[in-house]
Amino acid sequence: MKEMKEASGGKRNLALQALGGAIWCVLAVMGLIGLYHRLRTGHDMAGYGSYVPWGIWVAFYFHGVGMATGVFLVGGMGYLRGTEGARTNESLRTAIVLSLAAMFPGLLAIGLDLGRMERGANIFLSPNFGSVMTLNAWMYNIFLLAAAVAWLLSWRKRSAWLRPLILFAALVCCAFGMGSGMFFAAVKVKPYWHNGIWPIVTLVSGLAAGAALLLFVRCAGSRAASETAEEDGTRLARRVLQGALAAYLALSGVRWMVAHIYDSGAAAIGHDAPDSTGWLYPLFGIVVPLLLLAGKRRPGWLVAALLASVGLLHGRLELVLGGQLPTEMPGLPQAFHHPRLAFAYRPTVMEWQVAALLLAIGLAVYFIGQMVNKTVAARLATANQGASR
Amino acid sequence: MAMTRAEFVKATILTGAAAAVLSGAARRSRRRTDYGDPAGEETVREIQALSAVKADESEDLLLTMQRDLARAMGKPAERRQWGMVIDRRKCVGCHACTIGCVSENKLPPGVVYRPVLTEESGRFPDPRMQFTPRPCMQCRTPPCVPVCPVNATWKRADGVTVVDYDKCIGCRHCLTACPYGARTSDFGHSYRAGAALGAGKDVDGALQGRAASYEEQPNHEYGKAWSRAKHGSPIGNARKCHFCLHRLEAGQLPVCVTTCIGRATYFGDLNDDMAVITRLVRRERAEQLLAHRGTDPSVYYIS
Repeated sequence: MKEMKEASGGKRNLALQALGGAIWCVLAVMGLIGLYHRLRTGHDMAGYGSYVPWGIWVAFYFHGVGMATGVFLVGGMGYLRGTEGARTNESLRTAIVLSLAAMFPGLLAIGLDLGRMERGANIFLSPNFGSVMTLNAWMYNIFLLAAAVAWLLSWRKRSAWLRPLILFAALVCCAFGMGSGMFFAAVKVKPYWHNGIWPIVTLVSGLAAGAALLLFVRCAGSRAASETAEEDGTRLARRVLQGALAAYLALSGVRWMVAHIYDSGAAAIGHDAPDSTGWLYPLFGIVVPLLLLAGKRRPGWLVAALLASVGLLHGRLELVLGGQLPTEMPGLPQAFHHPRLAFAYRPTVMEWQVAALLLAIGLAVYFIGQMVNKTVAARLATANQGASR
Repeated sequence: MAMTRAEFVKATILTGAAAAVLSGAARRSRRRTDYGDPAGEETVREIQALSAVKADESEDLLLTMQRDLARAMGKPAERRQWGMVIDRRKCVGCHACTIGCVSENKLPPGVVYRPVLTEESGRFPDPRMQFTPRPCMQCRTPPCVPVCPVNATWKRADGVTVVDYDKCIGCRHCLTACPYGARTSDFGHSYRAGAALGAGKDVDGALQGRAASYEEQPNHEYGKAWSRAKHGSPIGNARKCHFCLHRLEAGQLPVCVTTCIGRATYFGDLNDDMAVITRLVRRERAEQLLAHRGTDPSVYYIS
């Protein structure tokens, strides 16, 4: 009976793996088509313009970076505190790989968004540290370096620098997690953005997105060394996600109240003025996930993690567009006609295709990273066995 | 397991070092004023135009402003403060300045430095139309400058905010930081070779397409030849009005000033008490656009 169960479980796993592989292939092919168009025709096929210069790629960038923040904060701080489900070096390495899997696509998104990609290195060669964008870019690299060194040190039996380095990397994560909000808050002429709440919102959003990613990975089939570790890891991610989503909902509520009930003015509201569909995103992106997380069914948590991730991405897009769409210059869009000179934005097929590529790259980084983790662990185990003989 | 004191000290050292380096660099960046612009005697120009023509009170305003320009160019750049006054009472909304600017700077589709905004008010039988030409405001505290991650845009000593097309990475942060919408991105569009023959039915299709050969002729913004051939800059860059600095260097007024059929646009050195625009700013209670944003523009409007 047990053998039959195992056999059917194995078949199901194979089927799921095949399905996952097929989805990945579709994403990669779609993405490569988008990338081809982006490289071949520049920004010709993109929907943004001069009056709304940033679109979904910028939202994906901030979402990816925020997710990396959240994953590392949960994994790293859990490791330092010895929290059940995050205390082992194995779970730390998973957190590092996941944070890289979230960050690389984000950085690629912003790279593709640049008008002159080939000059991206100018941010390191000729930096203006007075710009939050520069500070963030440097902090991403400091984090990547710290995470890479922490990953290397995690294979040692004892390292005096591993734990300090994790704390340092977690603080850098907090800094650029808030830096995403600072990026907008520093634009003092845009009332919607120039607001001290954004750095907190982006940090909380990142924490929630990272916890959602960890929970998704746990629920979608990634197995820890033992069932207890598995359960503990899932519990930790679920609890952090619940807390961060609740905090995000509260912050969104406060923002909404200030803008609408206390009428801080149309310009401060941005584009998220109440419309017939405005309630969909907080309902399905935040409230429904919270309800699902309160339940005890694992598939429900998986759906909650997915919904929350999409909802939080929508929140990022809302932040990005919110400061761009209102204008204080009436008549500007009508003054000179061109599709790029409009206060409107609708992502194009090419933009979505590139977004698919970002997803595919994130998945690839995760699977390759985990494969490397397993291979190194197996080799070290073999070497240790040999040494003990 | 709680962190030990030694671990905590190590983490503090790492964090402190990173914070000190980044905050020190940020402070130094914010204080930066030297962008390598020419200054002093090397910026003094002796403009000979009109030197042989006697000034006359009844002469065309353009001639008077030309004399103002010659006087200003006789001073080092750091003692000039270029400014503009636009008399909305005189503007008839002909868009000659917009087209003159497009022509002078060889602007591609989707890039505009000086659109003219139209506002309608009142009701029949007393409707009103007011036109607002909108060049770059050349703000004294430009919000577009500090957000640039690569120091590709800065304010010159003579008050003009410029863009280094060779440095700009095209992140478009400066576009979002400008409350006037005065910066546009060059997305690399071209007018179609046959556009001048007629737009046809499909306007967008007719105006955009493969570049005509004349579009690959260089423009001369900032006194340098910029060719758009082979995806060269300024394609992919942020672009903006620069008060036709290349013309000023040659002793010519900005093209929007010379093409204005109603003489509604005044230009000159705001540091020169004798200049037409300085007198206008004082006498006519000229206003700045979106003054509440604290950008302190060098462009003034008379309504």
